[in-house]
This record gives sequence, C-alpha cells and structure tokens, in this order.
Amino acid sequence: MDSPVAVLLVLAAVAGVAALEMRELKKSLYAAGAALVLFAVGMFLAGAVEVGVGALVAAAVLLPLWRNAFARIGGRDEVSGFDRSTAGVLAAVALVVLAVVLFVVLGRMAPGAPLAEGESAGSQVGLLRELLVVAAALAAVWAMLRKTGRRDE
Amino acid sequence: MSALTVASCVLILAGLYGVVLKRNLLKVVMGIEFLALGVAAMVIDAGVLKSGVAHVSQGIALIAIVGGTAVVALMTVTAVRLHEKHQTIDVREMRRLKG
Repeated sequence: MDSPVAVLLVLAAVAGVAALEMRELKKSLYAAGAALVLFAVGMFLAGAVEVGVGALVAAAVLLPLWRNAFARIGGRDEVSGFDRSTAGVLAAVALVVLAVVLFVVLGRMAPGAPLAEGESAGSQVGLLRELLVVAAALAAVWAMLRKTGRRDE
Repeated sequence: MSALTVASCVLILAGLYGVVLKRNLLKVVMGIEFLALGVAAMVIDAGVLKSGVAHVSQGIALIAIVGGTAVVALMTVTAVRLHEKHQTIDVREMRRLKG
C-alpha cells in the first residue's frame, strides 16, 4: 500500500513545483489542480477516505478562487524568475540545506532506526541538531529585524 | 524511514520552495497549500496501521487541510486586494505595508 501512495504524493509534489514554475497562470492552475487530485487519490489509496474527500473539497474551493484571482491580476506571471540577488541565493542554499538536514534527521528519528554508537534510546536529538535549530531561529530573528528596519526606507 | 515519509517530506519541501523563493504572492499562497498537504500526509503516515489509517490521524489531517484551505483562501483574497492597491504582485515591492 505504501509505494503507490508515495509515488502519487511525489507526483503531486512535481505537479506542485510545475504549478509554481509556470509563467502562464492558466497552465499553473491546471498543474495545481492535478497536484490536489493526485494527493486526494493517494489518500484514498492509503485508506484515509475522509482526508481524500477533504482534499477534493479543498480543490473545489481553491481552484475557482485562484482562477478568479489570476483573471484579476492578468494572465501571465511577470515575476516568476529566479531572484539572483544575494538574499535569493542565500534563501535557495538555506532551502537545500534544510532538505538535507530534514532527511538526515528523519532517517535517524524513524521508528526502528539503529542507534549510533554510544547513543541512548532517550537522546536521539543530538547537540549538533539542537545547535542547528538555534542557529535557524537566530537567523529568522535577524531576518525579521533587518526587514523591520528597512520598512521606513 | 518509510516511502510515505519521504514523499510527505518532498511535498513539504515543494511547498517551502514556493514560500521561500517565489516573488509572486499568489505562488507563495499556492506553496502554503502544498505545505499543508504535505503536513497532512505526514500525519497520515504516522497513523498507518495494518488495517488502514487510525481515525485520530485522519481527523488531525483533515483539520490541517481545512485550516490550510481557509488560510489560503483568505490570503488569496488579500493578495488580490493588495494587487488592486499597489498594482503589483511582487512581494519585494510591497514595502509600504505598515502594521
């Protein structure tokens, strides 16, 4: 049961990224709809019928709303290019690092994962990971303060 | 780590990509919806049993989807209103917003 559902969810993620990348907002809408429907089918296959129905209802609500919004702001996305400024590159790098850390931590925290040498069952969250969390929180505070300071410019 | 966990993480990261890197406010809103779907999938993954999915997990995931959808709908309307006011949908251009 696990693999077909996982494949559908990955396909939904791919459709989601396609929706985010497309310049034609109409095509973007179709891709977003595909992502929502793929997610709903995956949930049906997983046995979570309520969640599947919820996703379909969400699609029925959001797709007409987005269609209306796209019609109001114009048919094309004029600001979809990659932000090549320092902040944009830093954000992209941070996202990649977050993805790597997420998969590393999930691999260690998953039920039944083997413990590292010298690690007890009650302390799977190591000091390095805690430091990463603190660093991420400080970066967020710094970013907010910096943004707040710029508002008056 | 199950395949469903990895797929949920991929969906969450796709949503985060939209939230962090997109400048179009409506695309950011779309990213938030994908993020909510990924979180719901992860909750479902946590409640997978041999005979199906636990009812508690389904309830929590449903709340995540409904809450996410409501927030996204509200933000979509706000984005359209901001576009009408500022004539732009670029989040970097909206520095004139003050609380």
